Amino acid sequence: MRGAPVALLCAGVGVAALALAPIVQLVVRAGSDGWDQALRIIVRPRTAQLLGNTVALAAVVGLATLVLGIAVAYASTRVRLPARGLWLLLACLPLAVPSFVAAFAWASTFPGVTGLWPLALVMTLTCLPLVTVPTMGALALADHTLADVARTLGRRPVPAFVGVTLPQILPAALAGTLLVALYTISDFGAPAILRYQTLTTGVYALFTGTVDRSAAAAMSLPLVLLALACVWGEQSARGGRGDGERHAASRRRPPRELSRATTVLVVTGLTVLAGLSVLGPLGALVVRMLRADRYAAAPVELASAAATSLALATVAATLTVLVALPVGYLAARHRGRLVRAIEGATMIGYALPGVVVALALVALTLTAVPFAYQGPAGLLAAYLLLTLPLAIGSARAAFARVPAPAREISRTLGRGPIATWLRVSVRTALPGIAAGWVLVAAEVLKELPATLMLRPIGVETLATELWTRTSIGAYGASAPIGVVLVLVGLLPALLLARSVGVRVAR
Amino acid sequence: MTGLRIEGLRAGYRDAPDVLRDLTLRVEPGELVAVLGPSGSGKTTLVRVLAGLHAPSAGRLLIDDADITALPPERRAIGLVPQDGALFGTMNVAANIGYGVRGLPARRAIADPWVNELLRLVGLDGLGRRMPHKLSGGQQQRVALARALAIRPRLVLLDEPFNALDAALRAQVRADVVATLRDAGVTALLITHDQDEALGLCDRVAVLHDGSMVQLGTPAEVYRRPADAWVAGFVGEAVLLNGVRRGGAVDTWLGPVATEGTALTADGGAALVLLRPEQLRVVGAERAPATGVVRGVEFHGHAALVRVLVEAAEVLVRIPGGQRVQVGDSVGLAASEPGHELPAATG
Repeated sequence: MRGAPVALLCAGVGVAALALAPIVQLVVRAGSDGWDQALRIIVRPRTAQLLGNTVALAAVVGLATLVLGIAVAYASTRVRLPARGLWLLLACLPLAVPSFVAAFAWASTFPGVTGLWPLALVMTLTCLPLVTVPTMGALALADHTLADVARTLGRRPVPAFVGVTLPQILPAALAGTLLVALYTISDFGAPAILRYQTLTTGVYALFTGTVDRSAAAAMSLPLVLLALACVWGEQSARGGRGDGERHAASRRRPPRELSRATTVLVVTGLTVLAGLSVLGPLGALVVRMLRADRYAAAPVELASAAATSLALATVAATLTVLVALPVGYLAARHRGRLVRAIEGATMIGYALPGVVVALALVALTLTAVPFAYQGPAGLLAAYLLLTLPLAIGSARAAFARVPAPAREISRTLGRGPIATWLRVSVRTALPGIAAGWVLVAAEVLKELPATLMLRPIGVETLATELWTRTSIGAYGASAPIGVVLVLVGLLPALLLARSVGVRVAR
Repeated sequence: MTGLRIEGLRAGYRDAPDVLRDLTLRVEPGELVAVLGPSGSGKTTLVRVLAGLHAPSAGRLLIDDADITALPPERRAIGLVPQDGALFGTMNVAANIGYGVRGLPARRAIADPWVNELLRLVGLDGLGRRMPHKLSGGQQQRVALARALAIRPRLVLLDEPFNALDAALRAQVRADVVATLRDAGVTALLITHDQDEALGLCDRVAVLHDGSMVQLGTPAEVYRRPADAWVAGFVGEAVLLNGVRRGGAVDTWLGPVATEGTALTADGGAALVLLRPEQLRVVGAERAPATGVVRGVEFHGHAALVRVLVEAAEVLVRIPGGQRVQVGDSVGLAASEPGHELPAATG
């Protein structure tokens, strides 16, 4: 534990308790009709089938994003390409496209194409930045002298990369992959639109299709176990090391120069990827919108929904980042059993489907603070729980980068631990923390199920507007909202691209 | 065996195309040559080009008469010892050393005779199972050297390998590393910005300035007979005297100073002469050709470096440790040895 500050530990435990509250509520709810009943719902062929579907989807998407994400990160940072900034930007842009908007765009263009593989493709393309962005950061910090040495010792480029560079960036890439896996198993919109049944859509169907909410709660328990398995898997793959222990004072290495033919190949690959993930869906939506003759434009509603979305995203992101700071700091500096437990607990909140978190929060609110029911606080709490791992992951990586000597020097110059933490650690980590803020804001903008459940009466966000219109079959009417949603999401994606650019160019 | 030949080497990057311009250098087999230059002189680029990590824009590299210019790093057999050692943090010492040995799996490195011989060679017998982070900085550097030697390299590049070490450790590690290189009989380039390191350890010194080699010679040649005023000032303390050529001497404010070798200027022309501080003497003020006031004394035991203010200029004089001089003394100065004439234009 190396003397983790007690105050920080207390804060961390508090955050973990907050994140665990929905689970407790879930378990209580599942057992409220007696455990026999709950067990009957969990142990049946239907659950096994949904579990199999979910695992298959998460495995395909996780593996694809891990491999593609590392390749894209390497190509756009370590290889000399024409218009370098453009590729950094394109690598971040898919963040602007919510998975259900992408799925909607694909489904409206190719109506018959549904099932595992189309869904896996859509999820992979939209989740890719979650792996690419942290991997780019790790590549910018990695010690490339090691690969140079490996080359002089007889390794060809690929074995040198795999043997020496990959281990340095794998923690960051795996952390990203974990987020992808968790996102995939808890996503609701995209599987629903592409007609692929997962545990999450199963839970949602039970919630909305029956009055029996305990059944849905029971059904979501396997989902929680699956999320736990993902967290455990990532942590054991990372081997308990904090990331970025050895950051040599590595001098800047110019990006690799490739032959013209290889450069063309790489550029083509990146272009195709960007086309499929951003331009394709956006183009499909625009075409759909232009052809929609039944759509009566409602610019005022759209503007008010966009304003609501932005305001919610700003407040929720700020709140989440502040809550994430102590945990991120602990995770970077004091990797003990307690800290890992705290970090794992905050991950669980993210893995739970938004709809489960939302209903757990409704029940909690009604029990504990009934006057806050259907107020903005409940919605913000849901966003906080759902996005906490994003902010913690960014903060952890950022704090791991703060050099110990700088902190120690600050102490010798007469600053106390708290002043040092604020003026040296937080200050140095600020770009990384800001990146986390942007990730959270983007996530909140896209959030659908919890918003549907918890929004105060009369409040519409872009996501709920789109969903409402899609569910009544007004595809043409949904398209412009999808476009606006993508455009609104561009802002955080651009901000992220800029901060990544700064980090990579350093 | 003809060693390393660098012929007309040019290299750079898209945003700085002329980092190395027309560099030519020949290193004999078994020789240890220092590449000495300030930061920004192109040392790092030279290392990367030699190792095959960066392609030159022109020129050729030959080792033992074989052209290696187009070979990838893994086929050059050039060992690299980087600044901070850059040991593979996930492997123990033996696995690090055995990394480049063909057909030797990491877990068998500990029992490999060649790896153990190298461990002995660098004086780390019995530390094969240590992990790199458990080693001192000096030990890490020695492992990095053993790892480079394990591939039986035709050339070893030492890229400022002693920079990260603290001063107390540095002298010892330097001596050990050089002794190891000599024992192994390997050809090596020591890239450094440290004059003492270059002059004290190496057979010859190549001075790099702005991407060109401005001088190649033995340490004594580079120190006593630098090619120009820049080299003179870069490799050691210099006293530069302007004067007028009169036969075999130059008339300066210090009186006539004899010069060795062929005069660079015609009789009566303006000439520039270099004296090292130890080529000056502090004498009694009354009979000296020039006088000044002592501004500082840096005592080193065997000698002392005295700063004397002569009119507006400060002059460095190295005196024997036993000679007593104090700050504020008025002293006379005289040249005790012939000086070295420098080309005037580059002053």
